[in-house]
Amino acid sequence: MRKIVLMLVALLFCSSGLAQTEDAQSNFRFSIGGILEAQFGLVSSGAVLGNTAFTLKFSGSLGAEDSPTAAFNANLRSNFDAITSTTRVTLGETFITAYVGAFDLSAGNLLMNWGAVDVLGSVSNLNPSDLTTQTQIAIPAIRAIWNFSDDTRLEGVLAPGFTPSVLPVFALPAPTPPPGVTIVGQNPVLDNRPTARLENTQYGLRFSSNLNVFDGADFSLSFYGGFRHTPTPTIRLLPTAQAGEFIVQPVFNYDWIHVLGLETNISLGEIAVRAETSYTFTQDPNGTNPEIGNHAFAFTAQAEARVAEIGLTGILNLRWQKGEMNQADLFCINAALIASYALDNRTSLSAAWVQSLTDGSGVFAPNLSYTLADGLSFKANAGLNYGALGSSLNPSGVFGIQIRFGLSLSF
Amino acid sequence: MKKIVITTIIATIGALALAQNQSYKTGLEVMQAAYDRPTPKSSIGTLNLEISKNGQTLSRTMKSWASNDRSLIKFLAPADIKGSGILSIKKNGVTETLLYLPALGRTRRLATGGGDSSDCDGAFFGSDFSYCDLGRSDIKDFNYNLLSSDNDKYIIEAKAKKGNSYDKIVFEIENKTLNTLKTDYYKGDKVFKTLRALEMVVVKGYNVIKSLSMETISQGSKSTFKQTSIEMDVQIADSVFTERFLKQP
Repeated sequence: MRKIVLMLVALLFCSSGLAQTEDAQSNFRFSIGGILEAQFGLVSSGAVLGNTAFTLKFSGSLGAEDSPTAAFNANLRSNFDAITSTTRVTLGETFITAYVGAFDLSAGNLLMNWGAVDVLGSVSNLNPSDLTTQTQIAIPAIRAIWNFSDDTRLEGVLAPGFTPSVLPVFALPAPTPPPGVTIVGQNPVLDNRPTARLENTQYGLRFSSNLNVFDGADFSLSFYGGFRHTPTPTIRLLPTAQAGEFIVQPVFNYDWIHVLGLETNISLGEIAVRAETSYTFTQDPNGTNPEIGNHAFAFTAQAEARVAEIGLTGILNLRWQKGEMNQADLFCINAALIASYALDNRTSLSAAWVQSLTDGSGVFAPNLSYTLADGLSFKANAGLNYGALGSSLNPSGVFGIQIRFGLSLSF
Repeated sequence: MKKIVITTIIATIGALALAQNQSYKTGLEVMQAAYDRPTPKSSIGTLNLEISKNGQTLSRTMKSWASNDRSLIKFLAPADIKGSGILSIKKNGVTETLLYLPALGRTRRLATGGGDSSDCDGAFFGSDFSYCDLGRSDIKDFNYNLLSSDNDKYIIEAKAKKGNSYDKIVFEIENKTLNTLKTDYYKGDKVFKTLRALEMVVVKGYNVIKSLSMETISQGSKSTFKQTSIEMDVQIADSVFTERFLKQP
């Protein structure tokens, strides 16, 4: 794999003269670019972080520059984790789009990017997520967008396959055996991933408009029908030939859900407000089947104000989730202050402080960025987490510091 | 606020029409005459911004479309900001601004600043130009004093009636064309930044500043805008000033 990455790099540098071109006669434009990133870090627990990533990008369009008839986009990313010596290659957004009148018709590996808030929200359900990096994963899909005015559009998506989210390493809780039951072993996880069948086709609809109120207010109403990309984990006890002895069988099921979502993005003078809310309908509203999740409600809102004169941004974030029966609701309010200062044309400093107003946990993260040359930048950032065990911003409960250094070359 | 930017790169660089050669008695008369010259109804331009300090240079290339109260700018280079864009549309006296970042994959509506240009002092993409510098100030916001005049130029001092980024601004304006050749921006008694018109051309009857520089004296840094292509009074489709076009590659 490393050879493939190196070959790709060599190919790019050899063909740099062709990296961007335009054929005036056919009005065809394309460009090749990419990002090479290396990162090294230390964590107070003694762990070391180190990885290199290479992203190759192709994009282009056909037709007049201000009214193209078609466009394509391709992203391939290779990530090498130096600590575990593992390489992962992923196909990112890779699709073609035809612009036909008021319609944008796309097919390929797509990211839908629904939602208004900065974090992974509850409205964006078509794409699975990589929960280790808090990013979304592109999936094979077709999409049609009907732009029936400059401010209003309707989007429809069909995704025939199923891709689960990437989960962080976690341990299933050990079952408490009923009286008289002895656990004698555990089977590997039974991962009941939905198969690619017509009836398993996932779909989404989203209507978006600018209401032309306040200083601009977008809103979107969306509906999703498909699988939940994170599993509902349960444990079955399988009897053995020996009476009273059982084997643990962890099971991952992926619920078929319907999600009604509403999101908004409002500008109110100095303040930008972003909010989204969703209601998830499952096939077990009453919580009678432990292998299926229950109906769920989620609401996230953030208000952001910037005081440019002193380079300070304040953000207030509210999150409320009501989900599984017999489990406590999640309610948290975070306040964040972000200070940024450009030392000169190349050097910028920033510091972010996020404080949970509900459980006292927090994060402080100073950053330094220096532009060495066009597209080449050095970044150093640190993170300091504090808070009690199980808190929203420091779940481990251990006071932690991590420092990262990175170089990034875009071409 | 960034509304100003987008319209302004074009406005500042490209929209100074030829003026009649006549004499003016006060600073306000000169500035009003310069301000009232016709500007193009629309323009499409490609701009290169070079940011230099200590002999090292960073550059940004962008394309902009402007028509009436609407403008759109797309970054073409360097690679780390390529594809980013800003769309500004003035509606009912308020400028709505949408920012598109390809890495985010969606547009974000920016706070308008209540029309008060609150982050006016911020550097325009790391350059020596602030958003305010690139904007077209309202002539009524300043008091003007004609310091001197001769056959070639007027020297005019401007002081803001209300709070401003600078304590005073001194314009050097060419007699014949009413083009601003040089502008000194003061903080206290010292020149903080100097703007210079480096190259001018005539396009469609408009006297266009093809290149201009801003130097921050205290930092020894300089940023230069060069217009590599410009079209004026061209028909621009309404579909350009939409979120759809903003997101197109």
